[in-house]
Amino acid sequence: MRRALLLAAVAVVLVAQAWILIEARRNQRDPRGGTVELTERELRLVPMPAESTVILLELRWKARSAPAESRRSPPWLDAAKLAELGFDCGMPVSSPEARDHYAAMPSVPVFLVLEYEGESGKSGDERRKSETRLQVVDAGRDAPGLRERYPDLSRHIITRGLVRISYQDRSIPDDAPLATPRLQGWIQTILPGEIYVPLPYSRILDDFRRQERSESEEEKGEPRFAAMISWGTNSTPWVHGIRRL
Amino acid sequence: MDIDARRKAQQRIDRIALFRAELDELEKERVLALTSEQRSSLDAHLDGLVATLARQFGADATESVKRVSWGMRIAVLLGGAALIAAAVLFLHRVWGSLPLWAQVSILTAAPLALLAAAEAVFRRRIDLYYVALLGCAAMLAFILELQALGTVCNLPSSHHALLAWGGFAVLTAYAFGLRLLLGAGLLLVCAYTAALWMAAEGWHWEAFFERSQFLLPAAAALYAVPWLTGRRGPSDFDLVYRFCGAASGLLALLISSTLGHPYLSGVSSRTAESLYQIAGMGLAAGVVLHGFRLRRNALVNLGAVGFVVFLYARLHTWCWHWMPKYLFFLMIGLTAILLAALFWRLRKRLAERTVS
Repeated sequence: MRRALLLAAVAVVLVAQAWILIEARRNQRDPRGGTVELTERELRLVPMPAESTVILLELRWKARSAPAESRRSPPWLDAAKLAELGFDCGMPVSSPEARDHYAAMPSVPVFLVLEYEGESGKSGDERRKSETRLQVVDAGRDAPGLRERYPDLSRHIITRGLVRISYQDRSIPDDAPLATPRLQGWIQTILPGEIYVPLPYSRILDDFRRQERSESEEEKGEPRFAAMISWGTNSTPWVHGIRRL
Repeated sequence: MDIDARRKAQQRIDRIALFRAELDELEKERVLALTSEQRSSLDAHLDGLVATLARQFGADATESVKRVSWGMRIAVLLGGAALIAAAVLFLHRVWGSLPLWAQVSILTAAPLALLAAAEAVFRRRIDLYYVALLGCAAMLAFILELQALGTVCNLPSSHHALLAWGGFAVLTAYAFGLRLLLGAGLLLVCAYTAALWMAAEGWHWEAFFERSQFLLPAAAALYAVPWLTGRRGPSDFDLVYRFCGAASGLLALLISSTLGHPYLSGVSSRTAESLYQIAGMGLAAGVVLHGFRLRRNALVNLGAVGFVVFLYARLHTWCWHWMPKYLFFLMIGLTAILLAALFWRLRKRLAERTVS
C-alpha cells in the first residue's frame, strides 16, 4: 500500500510536468496570437536579485485613450463593455447598495488586444520616443472572436489579462462629485507580465543587464535591443529572436 | 511496517518513565511497598522493554537521549534549510546558462530525489522527524518546480497546480504517516475547490479569498471525512481532517465578515457581515463542544481562539466608531476576564466529573 502511494506521488509530479510541457508545445505550434518585434521601449529588463542569471522581460504597455492620471482605465472599458466581459452590471448605480455590490466583484480573466504602433510611433516629441508603442485597444472573453476583428498578426497581439470593475462617484483628476456615478473598468495586469528569455538569446541581454541605467537614461536613451516575440494558441508568449540595435 | 508503531513505541517509553516516577512517589508515601525481588524483576522487565522499543523503532529511551535528539533535530532543520537555500541560490546563478532539457531534468529530479531520500530514511527506521523534514522538502521542491517550469514556459498560473501540490502532499503524508504534510495537503485541496468554483463563475481564481465562502463546502467535507471513513488510516489523521476543516471554515467566515465588502447573494453587505460573524461564532462554539466530546484539546483550543476572535470582531463592528477608545479596550479586557471565568467553571465541572 505504501509503495502504491509513493508511486502515485511520483506520478503526480511527472504528470504535472508533462502537462506544462505539452501546453507550452501546443502553444508554440501556431503563433495565431500575433508576432511582433518589440524594442526596449516596450520591453524592460527586469532586475534580478543576487547573482541570478535568469533574464526576464517586462511588457510595458498603456491603454488607448486612458487619461494620464488613470493610465489603466480607458474610456472604452465602460459599463457596456464590462457587461460584455461578464461583469454583473445589473444593479443601478444610483442604488445605495451599488458601491458595495461592485466593490465586492473580483477581477475577471479576459483576452486583451495589444496594438503595436510600430514605425508610426517614432515621430513626435522626445518624450514620446521613449514611450511604449504597445497599447491595449480592446478586450473580450473569446480569443478567436477578437482575432476575427483584428486579423493583422503583425500589428495586433491577443494576450491574456485581468480586468476589474470600479464604482466611480467622483471625477478622477479633481475629485469633484459626479452628477451620476458610473462604472469604469481598469486593466489590472497582462498575463504573464514578464517573459522568460531562453538560451541562446539571454546571452545577448546579459551584457545589457549588467549595465545599469538610471530612469532618465532610460527615458532619453535609444533602445539597445529588439526582441521577436510570438503569442500562440494559448495566447502566451515566447521569445524566438534577440538582436542588438 | 506500521506507521503508528513508532509513535506508540515512544508513547509507551514515556509512559514507562512516568510510571517509574509515580511508583517512586508511592513508595516514598508508603502507599505501595514492593519487595526487592519484585522491584528488581519489574526494573529488569521495564529496562528490557525500553531497550527493545528503542532498538526496534528508534525511540528515545531516556530524558538525556531525548534532549540530544532535540538538539540533533534543530541542527538538522537549520542545516537542511541552509542547504536548500544554497541549492536554490546556486540554481538561480546557473539557470540562465542551462538549456531547457537540463532545466526540466533538474526540476524533475529535485522532488523525486527528496522523496526517495525520505523513503530511505523511513526504511532504516530513523526518527520520523527526519522523514517529515525530507517529505516537506520534497513538497517545497515540487511547488518551486511547477512555478519555475511555468515561468520558463511563460504560462500563466493555473489553479490546477493547487490540486497537484495538494495531491502530492496527501499521498506522501499517507505513505509515511506525516500529519503536518497531510494538513498542508488538505488545505491546498480545500483552496483548490474554492479556486475551481471561482474559475467556474468566471472570476480570476487567485482572488478566491475575496469569495472565501467558497471554501466552506470543502471545509465541511474535510470535517466529515472521519465519520465517512470510520477512522481508518493512521491514528491522529482524523484529528488533522477535523482541525483543517474547522480552521478552513473559521478562516473563511472570518475573512468574509471582515473583508470590508462582504458578499452574500441577495443580502446587503452589512447584513452579510453580521451573518458571517454570527455563523463564525456558532461554528467556533460548535468546534469547542465537539472537541470536548472527542477529548481533543487541539479542537477545543482552535474553537476557543476562533470564538474570541469573532467576538472581538463583532464588538469592534458595534462599538469602535462611537465608543471612547479607553472604554472599548476596557470592555475587551472585561470580556476576556468573563470568558476566563466561564472556562474556569467549565474546567472545574469537568474535573469533578472525572473524579466522580
